[in-house]
Amino acid sequence: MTVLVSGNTVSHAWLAAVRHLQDTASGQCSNLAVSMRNPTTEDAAIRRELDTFIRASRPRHPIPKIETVAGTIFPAAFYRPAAADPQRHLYEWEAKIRAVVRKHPENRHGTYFERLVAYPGKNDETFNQLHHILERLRSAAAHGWRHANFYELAVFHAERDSYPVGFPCLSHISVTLVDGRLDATALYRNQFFVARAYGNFVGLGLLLSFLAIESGFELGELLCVASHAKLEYDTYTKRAVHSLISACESKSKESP
Amino acid sequence: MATSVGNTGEVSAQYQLLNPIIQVLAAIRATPVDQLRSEIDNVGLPGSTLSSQEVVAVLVTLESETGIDPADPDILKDCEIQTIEQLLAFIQSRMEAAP
Repeated sequence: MTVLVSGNTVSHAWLAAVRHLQDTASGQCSNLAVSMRNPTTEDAAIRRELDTFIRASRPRHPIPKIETVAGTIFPAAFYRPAAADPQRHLYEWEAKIRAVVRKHPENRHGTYFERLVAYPGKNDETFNQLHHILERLRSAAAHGWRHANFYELAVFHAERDSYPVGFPCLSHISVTLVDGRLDATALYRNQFFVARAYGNFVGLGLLLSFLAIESGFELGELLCVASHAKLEYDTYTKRAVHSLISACESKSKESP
Repeated sequence: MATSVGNTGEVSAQYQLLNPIIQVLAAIRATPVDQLRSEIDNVGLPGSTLSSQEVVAVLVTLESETGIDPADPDILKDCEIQTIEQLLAFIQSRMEAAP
């Protein structure tokens, strides 16, 4: 059954989502929609609890750091708004480390950002979708448009992505301009809410923020839809996951 | 600057490594080298935090100079190197280990 949960920040939206999953019989559900009104804002106390859980996961079941997960969607370290040409700076540095990043087993099929800036085409050609929609957004701004809906970013590749598990879990991102504000919807075919979802939300928020800053439009909200959402009890144990959620709830500055 | 790098006879070798790292970091951050130097001076090396992406970028760029494979699994397994001091120590340990 479809469920929509929401929060003012990434942290509170994530907490609302894991609370919902906790209430299901198996810790999983289909069609879970998570809405974030401020997708670049976090609650530091909730983040600290999750960071602590992530650190404690090593070495038995190591969870990547939140920044690492977010970096696969948007490598924030290379985005310098004050650079002479911020987009070129971002694209060039990400391209420089791409071959190395791909050597990590979990990145062997590439990263989400790579699909955004080098979507595979025929004859080894690639297409920079991110730059393409950024140019369209700038054109919209130059024409004074405040409403438009043709800013689509594909991640899933029907010919290449035939793996039953693993990359890519994120399939598509749709950006919409409404009243001069940029909103985004992301679709995951599968999303792990302990090890990945929080970092996914942070990365998507940074991506949307990049588009807003570089196009001059206002940053809007983020909606993330997981066709299949799961709390990974089988990896981290039900008890540990519930304990994490309780700790986050007790630190949360926003009422449920 | 050199005194904040370390407090042993290794200072000189580390200082030699620090210059190219600052050059690369300045390029990644689109920051003038002098500004980055003064930022590092102000906070001390351990406070100069690096992201895993920056660490990989520095190592990719320095590969020919240091002979270190930037795809070393120690770096890529969710990079634990987060300060310039740790990066210097990592590079130095690999250089010393090299035949």
